[in-house]
Amino acid sequence: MYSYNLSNSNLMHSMSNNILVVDDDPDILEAIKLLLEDQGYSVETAQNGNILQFLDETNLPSVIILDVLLSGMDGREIAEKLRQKRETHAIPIVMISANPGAAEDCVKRGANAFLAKPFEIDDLLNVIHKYVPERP
Amino acid sequence: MKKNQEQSYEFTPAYFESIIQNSTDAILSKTLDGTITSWNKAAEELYGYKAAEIIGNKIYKIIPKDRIKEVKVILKKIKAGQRIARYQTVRVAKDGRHLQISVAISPILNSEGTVIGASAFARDITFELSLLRQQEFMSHASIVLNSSLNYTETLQSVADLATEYIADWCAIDLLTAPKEVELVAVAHKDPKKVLWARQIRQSFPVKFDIPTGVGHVITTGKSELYHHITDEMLKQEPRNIKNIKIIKEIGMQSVMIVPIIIRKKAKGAITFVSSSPDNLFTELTLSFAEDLARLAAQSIDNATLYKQIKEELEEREKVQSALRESQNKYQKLFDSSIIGVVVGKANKSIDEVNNTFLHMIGYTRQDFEKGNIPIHELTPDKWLDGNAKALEELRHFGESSTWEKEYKRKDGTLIPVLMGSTMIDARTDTILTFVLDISERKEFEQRKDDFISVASHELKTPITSMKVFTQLLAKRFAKQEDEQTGALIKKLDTQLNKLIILISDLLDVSRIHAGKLELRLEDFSINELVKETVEGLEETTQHTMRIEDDKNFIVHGDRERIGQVITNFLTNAIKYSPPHKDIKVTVAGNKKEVSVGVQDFGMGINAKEKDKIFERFYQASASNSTFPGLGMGLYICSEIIQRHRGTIVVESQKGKGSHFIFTIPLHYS
Repeated sequence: MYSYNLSNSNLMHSMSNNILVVDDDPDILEAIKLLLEDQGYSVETAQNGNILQFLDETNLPSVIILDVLLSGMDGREIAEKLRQKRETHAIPIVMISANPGAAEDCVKRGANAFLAKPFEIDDLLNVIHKYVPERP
Repeated sequence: MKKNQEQSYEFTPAYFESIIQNSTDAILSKTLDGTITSWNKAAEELYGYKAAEIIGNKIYKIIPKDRIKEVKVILKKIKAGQRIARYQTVRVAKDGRHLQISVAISPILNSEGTVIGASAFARDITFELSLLRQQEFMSHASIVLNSSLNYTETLQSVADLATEYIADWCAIDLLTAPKEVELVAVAHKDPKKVLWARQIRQSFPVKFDIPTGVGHVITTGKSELYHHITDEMLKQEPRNIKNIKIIKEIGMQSVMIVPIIIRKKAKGAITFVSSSPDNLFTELTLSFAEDLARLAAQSIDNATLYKQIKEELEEREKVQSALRESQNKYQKLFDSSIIGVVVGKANKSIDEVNNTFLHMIGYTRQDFEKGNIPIHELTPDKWLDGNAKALEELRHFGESSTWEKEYKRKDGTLIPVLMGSTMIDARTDTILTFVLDISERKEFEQRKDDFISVASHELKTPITSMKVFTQLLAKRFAKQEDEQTGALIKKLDTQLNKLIILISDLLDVSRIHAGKLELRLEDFSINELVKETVEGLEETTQHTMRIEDDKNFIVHGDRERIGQVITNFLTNAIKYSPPHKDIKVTVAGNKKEVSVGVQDFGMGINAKEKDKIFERFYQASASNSTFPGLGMGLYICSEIIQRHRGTIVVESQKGKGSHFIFTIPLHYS
C-alpha cells in the first residue's frame, strides 16, 4: 500500500514540494511519510528502486530520500543511475543507512547528503529544508 | 812345562785331600749308622758347622725332623751297595735355616769291597730354586695381570701370587691424590691373617715425611730393600715403641718395597714382607719384584687407559643418544600434521619445511626441492611490516611474540596464519618458525562479526522508525501544547538514544576486534569539535560545562571518532558526578600534539580500577550498580585514540573526581 503507484503519478507533477522516499522497511516508510506530511510535504513512498526508471519530467520529485541497503538492490547504484539520466540528474538525493561508514561512498556516487539511521528528525528536516522550502 | 806338570802327578792321599777340601760341593762322609767322619770346607760354609765340631756327631743334626726317615732309607740302600743319584732335599744349617740342596750319595768301600760308610756331595740350590720359583711366579703374574682390565682385582691376584711364591705377605698401595694412598690389595700366606694384616696397616699409616717406607718409595721412585731386619735396626725405627712390638709380632725378617711407576711417575708401591729367616730378600728378589711392579704398572696404565677410553665412549654414546632423542623429538615435531614448520634464513632462503606447511601454502615437495617456492612473494605486501617486526624481535631476544599474517598460496588465494619464530643461529639468521592455519578461527570470527554487524543493522531498523514516531509524537503534543505528555515523550526519546549508543558501541567493538575500525581522515579544528559536542550535551544536563582553550588546533584525524571520544568523556562526567557540579573541558597542546581533558568533581575512581578502566567490557565495580553499562565506551575510546597513535589516561582520586585526557598527534600518519 506504500509502494509507488504509477496511476498516482499525475498527482506528483503538480506539486513542487513532493518528496519520494525509498526504503525496504514499510515501518520506516510510514514513519517518514507521517513526519513529512505533518510538515506539509506531499510524500510518495516505494519499497524498491524499480519506480525510478519511470521517472520523467512529468513526475519528478523535489527530493529523493534513498536507503542504501534495499532488498536486492544497492541504493548507491540507483543514485549513480539517477545522476546519469538527463531528466533526473539534478534531483537532490538524501541517502540514509544504518551503516555510518557508507557516508563517504554515498556522497561520492551521487548523494547530496547522508544521514545515519537512526537519525534525529530535526536533522532530516534541516536537510530537506535546504532543497525544498517549507510549505507556508 | 808339560814335562814338569806330568812329573807332579803323584796320587798321594794329600792329593785327594786337596781335591775334596777345595771342592765347591759340600762333601762329607758318614758311617752306616750316620756318624759323620769327614766334613770339607764347602760343608762348613753350607751348614755353618766347623769340621772339628761336627765330626763324630750324627748326621741327623743337619736333617730336618720330617726327613729323618728319608735318611734312614738312604743308609739302608747304601749298605746294600746302591748309589743314590743326585736328588733335591732339605737340610738344616747350624743357625736353623732350612737349606735347599741337591745331593748325591755313594757308598764307601774298604779294600775288601765291603760298604763301610757313605759319602755325600751336596750343593746349595736355594738360589736356583728361588730363581725358578720367581720365574714361575713372574709368568703366573704376567698372565694374571693381562687377564683383566679391572686392575684392583688383578692387583689382588698378584698379591695373592706373591704370597704363594716370594713373600709371606704382600700389600699394594696406590696414590689417590698427592701424598694420599689407598691400600688396594693385601694378601697373606695364611688367609686368616689378611684381616690382621690390614689392621696392622692401619697402625702404620703411610707417611711421606720419613726417609723410609711406602711414602718414601713413592716420593723417590726408588726401591727399598731390607735384607734382614735385626733388633738393632728396629731400635732405630723412627716410629714408636709400640710399633716395634708389632713388627716383632709380625716376625718381619725381610722387607722390600718397590715403586709402581706409570709414565715415569711413581703412582704406588708394592710391599713384600718375609717373616721367615729362610727367605730373606736379596738384590735378585728385588729385581724380580721390580719387574713385577713394572708389569703391574703397565697393567694399571692399560686399565686406566681402557677405562678412560671406555668412559669417553660412554660419554660420547650418551651425547649421541641425547642427540638422537632430541632429533627424534624434533623430527616428530617437524612431522606434525597440525603445525607447519619452516627452517630458513631471514628473507633469503627456505631450508627445510614439513608437509603441513607445504600443504598450507599450496605447494608440493617437488616445488620445494626444485626451489620453485617464490620466497619473496609468499607474504603479501600488507603483512611485510609484521615480518620485519618479528625479525627485529628475533635478532634482539632470540624469539618473537606470535603474530598473525596471511600467506599467498600457489593458486593466489590467501590463507590466514598464526606465526611464532625462534632464532636457531644468529650468525646466519637461521630461524625456526611454527605456522598455524587459523582460517577456521578467522572464518568463525568473521561470521561472529558479520552476525553482530547484521544484528546491529537489524536492531537499528525498528529503532529508526521508533525514533521518527517518537519525535513525531513529541511535535504533535507540542503543537497541542500538552507539555506534560511532551516531557514523557522526550524521556522515551532519551532512552531510545541510549539504546542507539549501545548498539553502535557493540558494532564498534566488533569492528575493532575484526581490525575493521576504519578512520575517515580529514583536517578539522578540534576546538570547534569540542565546542559542538559540549553544546550538544549541555541541554541534556544540569551540569555546568566550561571550556578552557587558548589556541586553535587543527588536527588530521577522524572527526566523528574523536567526537565520539569527547562525547564519551563528557557523558561519563555527567553520569558520575552530581548535578550542578562543574565539568571542566580543556584543549591544550604544542606544535606536535594536542590534548583534550574532561575533568569532573564527582565520585572518582579507585587506583586499582584505574588501570583496567580501558579494558574491553570492564566496568567499574561490576557488583556496584552505580556504574551501569556494558563498559564498552572507554574501550572503544582507547582503541580510537590508539588508532590515531595517541595516548589516553585518567587521573583520579576516589571522592574527588576524575580527569580523563587524550593526547593525539596533530598529523596522523
